[in-house]
Amino acid sequence: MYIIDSYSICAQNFFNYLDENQEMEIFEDLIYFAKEPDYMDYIPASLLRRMGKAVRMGIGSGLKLLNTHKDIDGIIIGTAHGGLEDCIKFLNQIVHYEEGLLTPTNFVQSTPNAIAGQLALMNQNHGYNMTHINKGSAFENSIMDAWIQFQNKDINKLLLGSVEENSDYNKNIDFWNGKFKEEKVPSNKILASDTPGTNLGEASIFFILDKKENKNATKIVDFHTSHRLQLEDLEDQIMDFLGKNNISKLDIANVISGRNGDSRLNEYYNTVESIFDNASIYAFKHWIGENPSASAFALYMAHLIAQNTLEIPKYKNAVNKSSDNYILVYNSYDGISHHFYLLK
Amino acid sequence: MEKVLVTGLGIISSIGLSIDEHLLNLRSGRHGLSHAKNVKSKYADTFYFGEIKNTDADLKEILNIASAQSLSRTCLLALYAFKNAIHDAAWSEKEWQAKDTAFISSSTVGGMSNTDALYVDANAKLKPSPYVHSYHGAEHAQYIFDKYQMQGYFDVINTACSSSANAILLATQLIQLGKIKRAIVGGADALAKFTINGFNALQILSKEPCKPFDKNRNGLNLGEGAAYLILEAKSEVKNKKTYTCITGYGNANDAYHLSSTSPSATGPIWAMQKALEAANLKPEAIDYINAHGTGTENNDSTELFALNHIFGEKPKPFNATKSFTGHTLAAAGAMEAIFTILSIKNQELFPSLRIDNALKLGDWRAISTRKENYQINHALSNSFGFNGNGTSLIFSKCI
Repeated sequence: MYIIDSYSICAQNFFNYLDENQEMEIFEDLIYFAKEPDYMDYIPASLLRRMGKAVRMGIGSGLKLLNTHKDIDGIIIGTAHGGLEDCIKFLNQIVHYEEGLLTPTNFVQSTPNAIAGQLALMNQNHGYNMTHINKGSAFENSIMDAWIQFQNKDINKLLLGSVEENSDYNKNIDFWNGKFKEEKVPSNKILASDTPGTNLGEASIFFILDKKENKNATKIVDFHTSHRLQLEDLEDQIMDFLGKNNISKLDIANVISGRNGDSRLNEYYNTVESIFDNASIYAFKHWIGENPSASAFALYMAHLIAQNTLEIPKYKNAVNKSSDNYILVYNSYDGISHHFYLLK
Repeated sequence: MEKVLVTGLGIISSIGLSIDEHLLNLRSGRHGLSHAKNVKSKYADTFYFGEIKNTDADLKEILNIASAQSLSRTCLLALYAFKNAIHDAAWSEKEWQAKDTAFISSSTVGGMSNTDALYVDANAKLKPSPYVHSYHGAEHAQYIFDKYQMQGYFDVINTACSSSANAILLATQLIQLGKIKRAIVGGADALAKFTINGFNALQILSKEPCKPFDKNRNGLNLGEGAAYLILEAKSEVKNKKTYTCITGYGNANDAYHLSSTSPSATGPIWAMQKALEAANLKPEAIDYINAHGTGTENNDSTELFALNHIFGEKPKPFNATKSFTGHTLAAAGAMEAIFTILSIKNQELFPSLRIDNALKLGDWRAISTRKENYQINHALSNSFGFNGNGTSLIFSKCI
């Protein structure tokens, strides 16, 4: 399958506008907020008012792509958290009004399938419609789902997206769960920090996937998730993954690494990056922040690199750059599930 | 294309803790609807619920889990049904730890069944509660995946009330395509203050035991439970107890309204049509339909319209087993898949309860009495949810 178009709402307008003149913004706080477009141009105000942020970002990016790709056969969303802000709002209403008669808006918007459902509604798309919520693998599940559906002769083009919002839920509950750094580290220093925990960043990343090759298409050659992978098995796992696709490590020209400055994961990323001397290494979580569906942004970046859309600053330059055009993505949200993608 | 067999079932609901108990109650028309005892809500005595009478402590004891361990009720229910399913299929580590065994689960409320603890943690009011790690919709599945040291493809779905039907759909496709050899699929949802208030805000909860497909129906009863099915590739299974085959699946979106279905039943009709196409069956081949049948004004009339549209004027037997269990949300699709499978396996139809004044469309009306020795070769099960999500599945007698 092929990525033929993409759209991003993330913390950096460099990526949202695809504009090299936009400087990467530096954040002092650990929470990075998305720069949202002016939705009023294309979402009716009456609907917009009722949307929570996750739904708004998802609809806002999905509709942008659907404008030029009306002929999609289905919608697949991966979101670990869905509309959690709405969820917590509804929860707070339950408690504050002692279970009085509440308005259902927050409840209906809080279900993770609200994004795929509303996109279907606004685009009048009656096709395949699915929402995956498997935490740090929700986006990977969506990619597998797309692969499955493309085996069906009636499905040729899919809208696939991931949405993760910053909310009180992940701010507080992820904090209690030890996801964040306890000290403040500015975004331009976070990858070099060597303490536990990381940052948090919201994003909505959408793709149009096509079954067939197309001009300006980036091929998703293969993808794989390993659960409970030990550090000492990581290199073998990567070599197996490449071997299965009959390519060697020398064929990889670019590596997109999910490193996030969490000392508990640094060794994983160091291991992967050190395998590929001949590749340029890209990182991105110092720009957009960490979230459970961060692989989606890695694929977005892979598409930009493959299509040479704009010059993205590298994390490390290649020693002898491979002339081939394979891109490897490696990302892990929790250190338990490890995700690998091969693109071309 | 690889054939998909159902070789194991596990279920827990307000009408039982085993397949046998469910069968007994479905046959005798004994429902599990009552006022609520375990869930803390001011509506516990206002509405009827399909509540499982066992407390969390009871479930922990049955499951051999230390009483101090902070697992959500959703997780306990999931674990219970998961265990029974793998036992029923006579699986051992060899199967559940195989790399070609998938685990696809689903939940809508997940660990938010601890609504009050979530309130405290989400608002960072006090020190975190012991449940702080457990709220996510995927938490129950993550717990099971780790406890059983599973290795294969792992997915968790939330498409509201069609969630576990979609888990079955995806695993079926993966087996048919040869990507995996076997799977355990289903879903779990516990009753929660969160969902009770959500459905109450939508004003679709009934103060009586629900009456799906009755003219005087006045809303649904929320239920709780979990259900898992073991699916295996036919080429992998030799002389093993097999319930049925899965032959068809269709997923479509109604694209009409966030919380109600369209009068034209576009989504339900598409889902059923796609399922028939995937199974390569004509509508007349279907012998029985397990309807989504919630008991809301809107769902039942839309669904009846859709059935009439697909299958024509000559009626087919259909029922709403939610009249026994209430609406168990993410678990409902898998639960009703199990009831459909039991109907095929035993060649019998279970009654739809409390139809005093049947909702009719032409000669179509839900069956209200049990029928034994009823020939069923192919049966269809519907699941429709919020945000237009709808999935239909077809189960067939294995030939």
